[in-house]
Amino acid sequence: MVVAARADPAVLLAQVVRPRTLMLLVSSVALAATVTAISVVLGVGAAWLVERSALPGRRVWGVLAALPLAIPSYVAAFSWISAVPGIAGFPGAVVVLSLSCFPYVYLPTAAALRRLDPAMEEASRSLGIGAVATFWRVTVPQLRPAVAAGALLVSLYTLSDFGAVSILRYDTFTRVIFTSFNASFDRTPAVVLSGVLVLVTAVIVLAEARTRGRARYSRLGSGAARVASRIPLGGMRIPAYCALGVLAGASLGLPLATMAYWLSIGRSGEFDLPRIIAAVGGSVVLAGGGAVVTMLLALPVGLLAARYTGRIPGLLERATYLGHAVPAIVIALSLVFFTVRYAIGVYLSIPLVLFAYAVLFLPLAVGAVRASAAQSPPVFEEVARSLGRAPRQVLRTITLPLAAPGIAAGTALVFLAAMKELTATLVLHPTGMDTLAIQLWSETSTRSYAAAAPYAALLMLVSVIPTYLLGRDRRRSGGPADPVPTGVLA
Amino acid sequence: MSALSVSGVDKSFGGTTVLRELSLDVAEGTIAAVLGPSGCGKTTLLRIIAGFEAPDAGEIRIGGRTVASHTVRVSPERRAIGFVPQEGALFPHLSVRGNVAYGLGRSGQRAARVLEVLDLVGLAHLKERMPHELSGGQQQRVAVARALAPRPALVLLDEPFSSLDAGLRTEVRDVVRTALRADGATAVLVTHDQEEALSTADLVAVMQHGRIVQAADPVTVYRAPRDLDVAAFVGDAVRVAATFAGGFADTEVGRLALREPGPPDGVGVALIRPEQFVVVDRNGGPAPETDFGPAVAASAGPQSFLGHDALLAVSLTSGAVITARALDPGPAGERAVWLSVRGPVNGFAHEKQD
Repeated sequence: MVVAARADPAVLLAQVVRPRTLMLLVSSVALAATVTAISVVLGVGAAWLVERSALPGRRVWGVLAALPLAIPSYVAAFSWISAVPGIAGFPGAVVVLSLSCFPYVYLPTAAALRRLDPAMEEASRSLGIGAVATFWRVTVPQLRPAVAAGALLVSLYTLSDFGAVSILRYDTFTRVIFTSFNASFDRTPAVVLSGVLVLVTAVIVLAEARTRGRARYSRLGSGAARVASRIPLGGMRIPAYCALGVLAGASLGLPLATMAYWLSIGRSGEFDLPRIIAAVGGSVVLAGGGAVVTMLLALPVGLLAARYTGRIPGLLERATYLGHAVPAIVIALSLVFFTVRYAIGVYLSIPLVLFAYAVLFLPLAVGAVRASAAQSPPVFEEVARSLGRAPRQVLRTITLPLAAPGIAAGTALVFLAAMKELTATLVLHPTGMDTLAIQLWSETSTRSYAAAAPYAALLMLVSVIPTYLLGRDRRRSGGPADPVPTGVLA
Repeated sequence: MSALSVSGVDKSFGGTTVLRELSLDVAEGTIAAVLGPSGCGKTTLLRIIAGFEAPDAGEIRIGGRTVASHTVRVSPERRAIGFVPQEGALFPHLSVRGNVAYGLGRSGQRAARVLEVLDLVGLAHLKERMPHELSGGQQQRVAVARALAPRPALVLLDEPFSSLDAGLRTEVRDVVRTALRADGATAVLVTHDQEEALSTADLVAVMQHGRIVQAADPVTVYRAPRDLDVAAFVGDAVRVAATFAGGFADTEVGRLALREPGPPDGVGVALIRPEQFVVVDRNGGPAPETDFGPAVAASAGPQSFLGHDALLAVSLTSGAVITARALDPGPAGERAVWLSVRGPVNGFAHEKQD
C-alpha cells in the first residue's frame, strides 16, 4: 500500500482499469463462487446424512467428511494434476478446492444439527406441518448462521489460495500477484492487484457480517435436551452410500493413492535424501520459531481477552484476526516492500518469516490461550488472592498452570500450521533455505511428480496430527469443535 | 473488639444501588450469617469485605485494621481472610494437600497445619486425592480447610452449602460449623436459606434491599423479628388483624399474650408462627379453655404431610384461612376443630407500606 501511495495516480488508475485486472476479477470471483456453492451442497448434504439420517456407519462417515481438511490444498492439487494432467485450469481448481473446502461447511452445519432441539421440529409437526415443510421452515433457518459461516470460510480460502491454483495453472489474483512480483522489478502491478484482492475480501466479510446480524434471532440455545430421532432412508440408502463413498474417494482416496503410486515409482533414486532432510530441518526451524514467537505475542492478548471484557481488549483481540482475513500473499508482499524500503537488513531473513507466521497464525494462538484461560473461572484467582498470594504469584501458580495444556496445544497447532504454510514462506524464505512446502511446490512446477511425492507424504503426515487432536478434543468435551481453528489447516 | 466492622458502606453498579449505608459488626469467634433473598446484595457485601470489589463509600475494618475506606484499599492478599466460594473452587491442578497448603508459607509447621485443618473437617485420609476424585461435600470441606489453614482473622463463606443436596447439606454444615468453632475462627457466611442461617450462626443479620435490617442471635430474630418483612423472611408466619390493649392482642383466633416490648395500644397485626397453633377435634363438648379465654371454632381442611410433621389449612369463621403446623395431621378431609394459640405472639402497630 505504501508503494501504491507513492506511485503516480494516473499509472495506478491505468493499472486498475486494465482489461487484465477485470478478467482476473471475473476469474477469481467465478472460482470463489463456484467452489462456495459446491462446498455448501456437499457440506450440508453430508452433514444431514451423517447427523439426521439412519445411515449405518455414521461415525466413520463423520470422520471421513472432516478429514479432507488434513490435506493441504496444494498437496491435493499435486495429486490431481499428477494423476489427471488434463484437469489443469478452471475445472481442476474447482474440483480440488471444493473437495478441500467442503468440510468448512460440513463441520459447523453438523454441529448445528447436533445442537438443534428436536422439540422445535416436533412442535412444528404437532401444529400440522409436514416433515419436508418443517425442514424448510424450522430446520433450515436455524442452520443458516452455521452454513453462512462455513461458506464465508470457503470463499475467503478460495480467494486467498495460492498453492493449489498455481499448481493447477489457473490464473487468479494470488497467482498473478506472485508471478508479476517475481518477474519484474516494477512492483506496481502486484501492489494494485493486492489492493483489489483485499477489497474483494473485505466486501465478502462485510456481506457475511450483515447476514449474520439479521440471522441472530435464530442463534441456537445451549443444547438439545435429547438426541433427535433419525430419519430412515428406505430406498435412498444405496444412493446415499454411493454419494458419500464417491465424496470420500475423491477427497481422500485419490490423493492417497496418487501419492502411494509416485512413492513406489520413484523409489529408484529420484529421492534425494540429503535434500529431504534439509527441507525437514528448514521446516522445523521456521515453524518452531514461528510457533514460539506467535505464542509469546498471543499470551498477553489471550489472557486479557479471557479476563476482561472491554473496548480495548476486544479491539486488540479483533485486530489479531485481521491476519486471518487478509490473504497470505498480500501480507508477504507488504512485508517485502516494507523491509526493502525501511529494513533491508531483515529482508529474506528468518526473523521476517517468523514475523509473517505470527501475523498469519496469531488468531489461532490467541483463540487457544483465550479458551484455555476461560476454562479456569476467575474465582480460582480470587481464592488464591484471599490466601495471601500477590497477583503475579497467582498468575504463576494458578492461571498459567491451568492454561498450560491449552497453551501447549495452541503452540503445537501453530507449529503444524506453519509447517504447511506455502505462500509467505515461498516469498520470504532466506535464499538457500528450503522447507517441505517449498520443495513440493518447486518439484511440482517442473512436473517432477515422483520427486515431489516424499514431500507431499511428509506434509500430509504433519497435517493429520492436528485434525486428529481436534477430533479427539471434540469427542472428549462432547461438544462440537469450533470450526475456526481448522481454518489454518491450509 | 470486633473482628469485622462494616460501617456505612455504599455500592452501586452502573445505575443500580446494591448496598446502601450498610453496617455490620461481628465479634471475634462468632459465626455470623448474612441472610437475605437472592439479589439483595449479600454476595456483593462478601466480595467487598474480601477486597475483590471496592466500596463507593464507608469503611471496613478487619481485626481493628482499616482495610477499605475512601483513602485506604488493602488488596485481598493482605487482608488475612479466608474465602470459601459457592462451589468450593478447589484448584484442579493441585492435590487436596496442595490446595490446603497453598496459602501457607514455607515454614516447617506447614505439613502439620495441613493435617490439622484436614482433621478438623475429617478428611485427613484423602490428602493425596485430586479434587475431581472427591464428592461435592468433600470438596466443600476441603475448601473450608484451605481457607482455615493460614489462620485468617476472618473466614468468608459464599452460600457454601447451596450446591449440595439436602441430606448432605446438613451433614457438611455440621462438620464445617464444628471445624470453625474448633479453630476459634470468626466467620461470615451468606445464605438465602433461613434454616441454614438459624442453625449454623451465632449472629443472624437479615439483609433486605441493600441494608442489614436486623442483626441478632437466631432465637431473637425468629421470635422477635423487627418487622413483618423480617418475620416472614426468617420463617412461616401467619398474620391476623388485632386490637392491642394492655399487653394483649384481641384477634379472630382469641385473646393472645403479646411479647415484650409490645406495640402501643391500638389496631395492628399479630404475627403467629404456625407451630404456635393448637388444633383439637371438636366432639360436641364445650370449647377448651386456654390461658386467656376459650378456643375458637374452626374447620381443618387440606393438609400437606411433611413426614416429621404436617401443615394444616384451617378455615376460620370469617372465611380467612391460616396455616397450622401439627405433629399429627389427623384424618384427611374437612373436620370441625377447636383452634387456640400457645405462647406469646408479636404485635406490629400497622402494616408496613410496600
